[in-house]
Amino acid sequence: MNFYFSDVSAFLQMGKHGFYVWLCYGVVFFIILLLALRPSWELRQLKKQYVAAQKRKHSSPAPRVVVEKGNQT
Amino acid sequence: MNWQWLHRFGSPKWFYEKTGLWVVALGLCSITLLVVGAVWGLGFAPEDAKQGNSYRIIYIHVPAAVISMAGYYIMAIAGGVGLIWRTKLSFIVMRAAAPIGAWLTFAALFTGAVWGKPTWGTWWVWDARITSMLILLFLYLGVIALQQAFQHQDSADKTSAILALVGMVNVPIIYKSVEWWTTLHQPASIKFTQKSTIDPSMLYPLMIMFVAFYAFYFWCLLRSARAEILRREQKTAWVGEILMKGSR
Repeated sequence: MNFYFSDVSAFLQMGKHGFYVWLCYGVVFFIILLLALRPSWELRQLKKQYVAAQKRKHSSPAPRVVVEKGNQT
Repeated sequence: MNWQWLHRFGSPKWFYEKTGLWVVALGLCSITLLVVGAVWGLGFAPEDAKQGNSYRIIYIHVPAAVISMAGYYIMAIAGGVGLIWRTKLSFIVMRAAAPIGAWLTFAALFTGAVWGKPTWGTWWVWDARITSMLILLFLYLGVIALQQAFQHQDSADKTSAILALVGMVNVPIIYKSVEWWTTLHQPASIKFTQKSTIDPSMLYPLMIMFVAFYAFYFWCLLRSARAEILRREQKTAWVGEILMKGSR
């Protein structure tokens, strides 16, 4: 099996279809990258929130702010 | 009949523990095959006699389109199983499948539009195949929106499962649209019952891309589902341990 194009510039130009082909591959591989990274982002966010919540629980209890309904002046 | 296996399989903890290795295997497999398939399709497969090089879009367009439909079935069936047997895991899988399916549907529509310009002379036509694919995108977006529209996860799960199940009727319509109506979109070149109308030199890279996209889909689905398990089960001790790892 051989490389189909004569040189790199022919490969990039793809006849007169280079723009369409490369645009498609660019966008789809960007989506693939996005989908691949998304679960890790979510997990990191969740861990951060969880750890913060645990720290709050274990440190001295913060003074509770009680707002009673109808009593605000 | 003994349904215990189903409930064990539906247990988030069991699923989380069993799928750790699968994530690694599917990740390596999908990345390797995506690179091999894309390089082969872009640089080594021959040019199409009629369409020239624009046909190379097929290597991402067709796998994305097929998996966006298969992924819809996965999402809807997971929702249906959740409604019937009330297994926690099925709703988790349903929720994880929605954004992945939506992005792949968008990828299929986008590459189709860009491919349409040099081939048909237009970015967009309101024909049966393209319009039904757009409806698929809206169904995915509907499930995502419903997941976020309720305060209680339980109501969100049930409502979006019903939408997903009703929307399932659209998938065979997409599949058959090129036969039932006159459309600009060509009918399938790869056939299961007859000889395919595509040359092996173009078929092999396409097959690799199919496997690559499927592996990628399940890789993303597993990782999203695992993250969702941790989110929903964060009050349990075993998840707490995982989430606190490295921060003590």
